[in-house]
Amino acid sequence: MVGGEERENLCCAEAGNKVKDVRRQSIGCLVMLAKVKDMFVMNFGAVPRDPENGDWSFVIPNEAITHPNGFPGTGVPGENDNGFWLLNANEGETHSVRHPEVGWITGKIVNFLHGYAHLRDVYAAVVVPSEDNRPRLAWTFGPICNVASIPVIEIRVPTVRDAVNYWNSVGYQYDLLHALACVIAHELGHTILWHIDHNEQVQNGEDEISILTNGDKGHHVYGQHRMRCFMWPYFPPGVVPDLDNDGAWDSLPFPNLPTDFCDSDPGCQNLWRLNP
Amino acid sequence: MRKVAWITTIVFALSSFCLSSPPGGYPRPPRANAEAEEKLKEAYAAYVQGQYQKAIRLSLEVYEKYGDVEAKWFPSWVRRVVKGHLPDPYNKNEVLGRTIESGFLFTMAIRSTFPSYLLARCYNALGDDKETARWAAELRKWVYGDEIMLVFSLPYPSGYVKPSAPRNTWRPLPLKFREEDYFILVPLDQACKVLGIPFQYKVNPKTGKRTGAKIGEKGLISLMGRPFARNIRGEVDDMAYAPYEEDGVVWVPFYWLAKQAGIRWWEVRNGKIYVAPKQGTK
Repeated sequence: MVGGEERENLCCAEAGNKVKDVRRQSIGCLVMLAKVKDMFVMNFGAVPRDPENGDWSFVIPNEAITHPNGFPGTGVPGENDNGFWLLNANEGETHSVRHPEVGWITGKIVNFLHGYAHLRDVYAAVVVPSEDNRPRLAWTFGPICNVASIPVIEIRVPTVRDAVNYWNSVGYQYDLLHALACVIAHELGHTILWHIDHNEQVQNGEDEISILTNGDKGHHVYGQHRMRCFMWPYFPPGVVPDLDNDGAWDSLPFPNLPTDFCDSDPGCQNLWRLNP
Repeated sequence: MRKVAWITTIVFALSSFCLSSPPGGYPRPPRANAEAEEKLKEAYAAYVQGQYQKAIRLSLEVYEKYGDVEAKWFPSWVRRVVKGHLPDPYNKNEVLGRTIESGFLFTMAIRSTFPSYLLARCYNALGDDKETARWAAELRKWVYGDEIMLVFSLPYPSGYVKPSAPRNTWRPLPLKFREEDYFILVPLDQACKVLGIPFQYKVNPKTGKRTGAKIGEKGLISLMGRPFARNIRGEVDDMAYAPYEEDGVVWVPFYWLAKQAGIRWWEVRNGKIYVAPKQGTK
């Protein structure tokens, strides 16, 4: 129990160096003083596309989160060392819980944007589908060790599908579910590695290959870290664009998508602050 | 022309690599005022419906007057589905919160755009490399590093534009239509007949109400307030505007049906929908 408290404080102290709202982070630490946490993902995209007409496929299939290749999570904390687990966000009993900042909240067992998941002594991340105009596959709001808001991950499923279709059209055989799992895992990695900057000298957008060299929020850095990891900054992992302008890609993606966060020094798995 | 095709291919190929996913929090364009918002809504609809020149004109008007401002809105169909108060589309926390609390996917229903994004996309669709590069550079204010490439790899709702027959040879379709949020909507029965697309309504046997329609053998659209759809090949091909039924008439975005029928060039002129010759049916 005590060890757990220290670890949580360490986590938030580091995050606090990166954000202005140190006080809020500290409140978060106090609330999360608890046993070793589990971690779960609430999938708000688990909505049938057109159930009335027989299309029961989900906007974000749950298998994209429970996919065995996407979330073995050997280095990820969680129930029985199984890493992340899925909690169906649209099910659950209605409860009232007391939130330290806003008072009593009523709703479904996990259907709160603010705080409730943390009150259950678990870490939670929320995945929602998006149509935002950002030209990205997915993006993340906030670290997981912040009680003021659950980390939200927005994912553009059609964009992932387009990427998979493109690579499959040129000879790869990527599985869409595995690809979605990789993208979601990458974002979940951000929620945990929020405070990790692998290359502090590079500021956002100040050099032409910043994605490859930035290293912010746990991103891997070209030339320093393994490509076969969820935290490689490109999708599919392994790919490196034409950096020297010779008209050829500097590296093609791996034939098979990665299945885990890396563990080699200073691998992602060594950087977890949740349940080391 | 060959050069344009080659560049497009390279850009597409390259762009498929650049799918990084950094955390949120990077700069967004400033919020559009009411006038800019309305023009950007119109420009967005023009872009989706393949009217790229119109989208460019409107986007440039906004850009020159107000700069690169961002409009966000909920399409009118959302108000048919969601009873009561809608979240403020510019308030990200409220949109996320309501998505999580209500189960309705506000994050997917919301539309947003800004001039440099539309201009880069439209010029690229037209094959204008010079202007594409110019607006891609402008986009770099808001787009993270190499993700700029992704702007050009996403498929276009109405495809690229190739040369077509002169407009004076286009023919009008005997089809009534209505305009909503600048989208051209047509009656499904009438449109499918005119375009030669087989279709069949799906009806809930318990209520007797229409729930959707099969388009061809494998296509599927919903009439339950969702823009989710599958095209005539059975592939996921969601709409930019959700179909709906009103007084027994099912209204569907024409651009989507036109695509299913193989129509690439069309426009509204003198109160009628005109299509290029030999493009009317498939």
